[in-house]
Amino acid sequence: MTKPQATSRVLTATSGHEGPLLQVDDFRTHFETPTGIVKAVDGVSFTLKRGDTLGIVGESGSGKTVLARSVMGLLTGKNVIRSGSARYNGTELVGASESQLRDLWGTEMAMVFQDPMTSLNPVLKVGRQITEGLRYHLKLSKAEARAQARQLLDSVGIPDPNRRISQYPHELSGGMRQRVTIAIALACGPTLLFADEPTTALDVTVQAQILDLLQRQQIERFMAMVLVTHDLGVVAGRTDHIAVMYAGQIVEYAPTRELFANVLMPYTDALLHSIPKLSQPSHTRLQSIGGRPPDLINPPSGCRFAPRCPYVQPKCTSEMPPLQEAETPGHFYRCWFPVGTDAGREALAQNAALGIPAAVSLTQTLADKPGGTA
Amino acid sequence: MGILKGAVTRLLKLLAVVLVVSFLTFSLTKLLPGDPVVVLLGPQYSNVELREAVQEDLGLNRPFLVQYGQYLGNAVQGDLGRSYTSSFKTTTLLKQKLPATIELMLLAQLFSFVLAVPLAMLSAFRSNSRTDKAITTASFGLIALPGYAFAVFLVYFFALRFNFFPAIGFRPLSDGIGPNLRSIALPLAVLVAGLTAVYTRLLRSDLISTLQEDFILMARSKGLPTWHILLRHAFRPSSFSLITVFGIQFGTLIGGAVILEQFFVLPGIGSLAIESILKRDYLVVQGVVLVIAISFVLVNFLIDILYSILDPRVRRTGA
Repeated sequence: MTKPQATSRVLTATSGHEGPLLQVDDFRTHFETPTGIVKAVDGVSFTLKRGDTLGIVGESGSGKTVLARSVMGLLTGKNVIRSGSARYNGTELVGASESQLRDLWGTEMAMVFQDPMTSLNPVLKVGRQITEGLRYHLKLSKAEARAQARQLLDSVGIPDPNRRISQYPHELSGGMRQRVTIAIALACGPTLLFADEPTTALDVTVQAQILDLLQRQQIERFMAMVLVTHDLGVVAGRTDHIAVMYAGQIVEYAPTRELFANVLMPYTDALLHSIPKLSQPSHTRLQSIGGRPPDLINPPSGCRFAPRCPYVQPKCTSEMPPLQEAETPGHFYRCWFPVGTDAGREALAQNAALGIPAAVSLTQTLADKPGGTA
Repeated sequence: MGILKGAVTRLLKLLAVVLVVSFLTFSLTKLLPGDPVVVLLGPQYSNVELREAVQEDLGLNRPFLVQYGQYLGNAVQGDLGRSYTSSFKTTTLLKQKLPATIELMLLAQLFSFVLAVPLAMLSAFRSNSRTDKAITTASFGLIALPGYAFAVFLVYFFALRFNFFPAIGFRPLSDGIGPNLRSIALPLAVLVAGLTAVYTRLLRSDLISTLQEDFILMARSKGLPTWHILLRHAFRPSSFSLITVFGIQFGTLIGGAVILEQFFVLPGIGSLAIESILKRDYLVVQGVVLVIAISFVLVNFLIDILYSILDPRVRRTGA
């Protein structure tokens, strides 16, 4: 593979002729805190068209949850500063008033939250939590809303909806509760669904079921979906595109298949190495990413991943790499010495020779399994 | 029948509480220095024969436990004995004095609850705003200010300077609702100010933490209006400590009534308690304490039931 060329920084999810449903451009969300301004989301751009799914992947603190909530406008408070642009169907969301946003919430865009133990109101019956949106937005009568709620519960795979509808959240299992929150999110027929780590709090056994359910609903309802997760495995077979986030920025963006085939950003590569694999013998030490995400008040001036990167070179710490398009169209990355390129290999070998721990251990890992990414 | 079974067990426990309270009051009045016979006889106390006759008459010469047993036996039948000093039955005195106290207490609780809920919501929803700061400061001030001091202010301005309300005295409901309300307006204001302050602060802080919950964010993401989120989603889960303190305040209010009723010369059971204590009229004192204990215990029993209605997780599932 040759060195990719720097091109446009604008990401286009699809080359479709209809306008994108969601167009996010140089979007920023900063928090004012007593110690300084936390740049939780710092210049993110992507587009998403109806019927497509975008996976946003990153570790804790990478800004992925803030991005989802903030695009939707759910973050309020005097200390929240949103800038840039996020357009839903042409409507600018940045700077929109709470009441303008409220008209979109539920009916146009909805969100499934991480933990169904805490995202359902413990003192309200499941049925009421579904019907209140229906009654308020769609002006359904009590009976109509109840019938609709039953149908929704049925469609998200809850057996015996007639009984479940008059139960309280604590009477349901975790998986059931997440199905209920999905039913709530879908109730008023949104066209854009944010799913913020929808399976993180669930048993492994039900994670796949919930993801399948989301995928099925997304296809059936022809929705656009933003699936936020820290687990590349979750998005692997289910999204059209993946955006990898690190320290508030998108560091790699590509069609899902392309991303897994040709990882360019060392951070994405490190994430992939940190997934446990069944083919490994048991008790194999997981390849973790050393160090911690950077301080978002004073992020490093160069590449934000540089302090933890096995490929790091002097250039990385002084100049921030732009988000550039690779040889494969639609594949964007933010790196001076990308994985799998001659420049990258050279940088890694040099670091390994110098005895930089991250580089040494990565080189070993790559040597252990010849089919590795490099 | 989980709720019913729980209620019966709780009711039995409460009965035990009432028994203990009555026993303690009974023993206290015996242990206290001073003798009702002294008060009754005055200088004639030195007459041993007369003294013994009176003691016999009042049953004061019998063993302590026998006296208590008799008292309890009569009490169950609704007879709390007769006042030593007047010939009135204790129950008659209580019936005379209870209406003023109960009316004052219920109205105070009602008004302060109705005031505190919207104030707390306003305060919590816009926490750290100017409105919130004003409400918080005002309630803090009112909590710090003792009720009787506030009462002095109110009487000075609204009774003496402007003559809106009578400074003292009580007109029963039978005199008409207007005069009745005017007569208790000032003591009511004192109580409402203090209670509203307490309830507002309590509910505000619970609301603020509830508003941080994920289910509130979820409710917002449904596009529901703010008032709906505050009332339907935030209020109920935030109301538990408010309800607890609300119940306890019934007890405190009766206790606090002693000072306030003295100040405003209200014929309530607070004044009755004071008069009876000063006159060593122990049967009446016991009657007053018993009534307070029973009503306090009953109110808190109802509050316990209210918990299980408010929070489905508290409800016991069938055994």
